[in-house]
Amino acid sequence: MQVFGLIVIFGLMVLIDLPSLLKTDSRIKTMVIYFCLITLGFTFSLLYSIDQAPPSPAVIMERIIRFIIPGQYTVQ
Amino acid sequence: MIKGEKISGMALFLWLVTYTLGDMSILNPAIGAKAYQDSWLGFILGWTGGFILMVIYVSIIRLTPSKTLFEILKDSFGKYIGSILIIFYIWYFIYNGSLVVREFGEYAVIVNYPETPIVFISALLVFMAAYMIKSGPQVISRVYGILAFIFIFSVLAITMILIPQFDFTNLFPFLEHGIKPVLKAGLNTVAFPFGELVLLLVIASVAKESVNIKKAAYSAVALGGFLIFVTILRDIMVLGPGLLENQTFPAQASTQIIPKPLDVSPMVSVSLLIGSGIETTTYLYACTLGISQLFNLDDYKPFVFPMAALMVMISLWNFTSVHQFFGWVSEIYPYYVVPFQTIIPLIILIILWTKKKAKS
Repeated sequence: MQVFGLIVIFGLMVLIDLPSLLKTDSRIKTMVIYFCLITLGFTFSLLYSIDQAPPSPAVIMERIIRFIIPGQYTVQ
Repeated sequence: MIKGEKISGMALFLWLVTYTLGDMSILNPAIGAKAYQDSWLGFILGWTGGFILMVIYVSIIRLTPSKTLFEILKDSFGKYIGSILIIFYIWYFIYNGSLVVREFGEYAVIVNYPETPIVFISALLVFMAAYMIKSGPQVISRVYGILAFIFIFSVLAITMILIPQFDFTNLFPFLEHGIKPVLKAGLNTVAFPFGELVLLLVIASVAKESVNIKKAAYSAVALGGFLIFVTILRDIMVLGPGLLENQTFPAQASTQIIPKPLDVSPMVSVSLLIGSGIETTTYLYACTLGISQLFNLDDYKPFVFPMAALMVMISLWNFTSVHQFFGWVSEIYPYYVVPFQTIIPLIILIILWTKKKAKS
């Protein structure tokens, strides 16, 4: 159900943006970047919705900062 | 350089004031540092640091008028290093935006809509911001130019109503826990909210050329800082240091002390909606503009929705609970933002000064 919802939301976004995407000057370049961003968003949303998301940015950043400044971890 | 209609000095000033105040109307930036009754002192230190940072940002703008941060990065560091730094800044803006969205979502779920899923509240806020960005920065400045007055009125009105509950003894003993927590509170305050004004380097380019950026920026830090200072003093005097340090949303707790039937807590929610709205809108605008300028495209508008979706997703993915969120923001965030708010702008300024000297 969640996956179906995600497909509908991302599909709607593409449908809304499509007319303006077709009007842009550098159409191919814009479309490539646009669909890369959409794919990225969709993939992470899908992984998050099925509980398979990789470690969050907060976890990664905390590990890097705690490597330099030792202290208690706030996010596991 | 951004094409299209430009905004006035007053609009830029109101945008910056609202942005500085942001979610500070419900939070205390000095909380988490264990400065207790001295958190107001930590805030003053941070406020001073905020003025110093503003000197750096304004100096960069004066040396590169009408250019955005992304163009300045490419000019200063060259195509390759400049592009890498632009990617880092895009990340910084989208990530900070996601933090604001998460905070707003948590507040709304805890205080106003406990039955509503946080994803729905977050998505509403971000897509409202996305719609505004699609209409252009002029629309953003006009909307928040009006809402700024409601925001400032809400903060001042809540403070006035709470005056009978003030207990001045809550401010003492002075420096009971030493100077170290005060300094940490100061560092937190520099990072959040004043360092976030690095965004001035992005939005200053939409101001008319005749606008005195220096005046607008310093006035915004002064007024925004003053209003935050008032809320911090108010919350310490109303709640007391112990209660203040343990509250997730001190402003909300303060309003609950007002005797019934008067209930001003909806004003806190309204001010948070305005504050979070402007912050989310500005961050989303900055990261979409960054994407378009990274790839030398004229229009940023096609990327608004995909970036908005990413922002909502990161806000949900980042933390599993509100306690994790606040723990991370008070412990990790002040260090994580140092390169973006201080080091890189400082290097840019040195490069620009060197280039200017070499030219002359």
